Amino acid sequence: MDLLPGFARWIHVWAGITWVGLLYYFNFVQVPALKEAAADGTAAGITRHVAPRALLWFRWAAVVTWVAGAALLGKAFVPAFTLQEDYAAIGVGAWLGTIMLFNVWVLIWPNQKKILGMVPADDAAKARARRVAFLASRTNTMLSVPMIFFMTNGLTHRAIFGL
Amino acid sequence: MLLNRLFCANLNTLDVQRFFTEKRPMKNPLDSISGTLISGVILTLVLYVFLKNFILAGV
Repeated sequence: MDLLPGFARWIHVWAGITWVGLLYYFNFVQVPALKEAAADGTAAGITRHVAPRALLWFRWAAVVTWVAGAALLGKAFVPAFTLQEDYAAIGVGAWLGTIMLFNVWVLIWPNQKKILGMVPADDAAKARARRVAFLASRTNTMLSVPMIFFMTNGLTHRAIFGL
Repeated sequence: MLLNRLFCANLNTLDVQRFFTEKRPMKNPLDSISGTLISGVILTLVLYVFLKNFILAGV
């Protein structure tokens, strides 16, 4: 059982890089690129061939990251989520990651399905879905900043919190 | 620009009143990448201060 934390940390970081890397790809690369591609009529290449694949890896990497993180916390899961003294800092990171996972599966993915035409939606519904998915994605980008701070410092660099 | 108008112009009470009451369109910081990242840094500082002073205050 001593191997579990090591494997869980490995998978957690590996999947986390995939998840947040794709989140940054969407926000820093794909959204600005789509604006220009829409202007010259080449957006279909991205929306048909790139976005669905990126979203597949994105949403499942989010799940794997969370599950591996929960396994890594182990017995500290409840103390972390209830912000008990020794686990308060990593707990804030865990809460931020959980909110981000919620955003992926409840706000981003269902609305992306409408935008990409995977489920039927009229133009008004697509426009609304585009705005909701965009803001949820940007919210996750914003939350990733403190999430990474608390995740990387929460247990290994505890001096920063005076622990 | 707005601060310039407030502090550098010859202002009377009416100008000051107008500055604080006139409607200006608010921008969502999440609409720009820089606004999103700055919001993230500010949120990090807020959560850090909250954690240090309220959750870990007695430690």
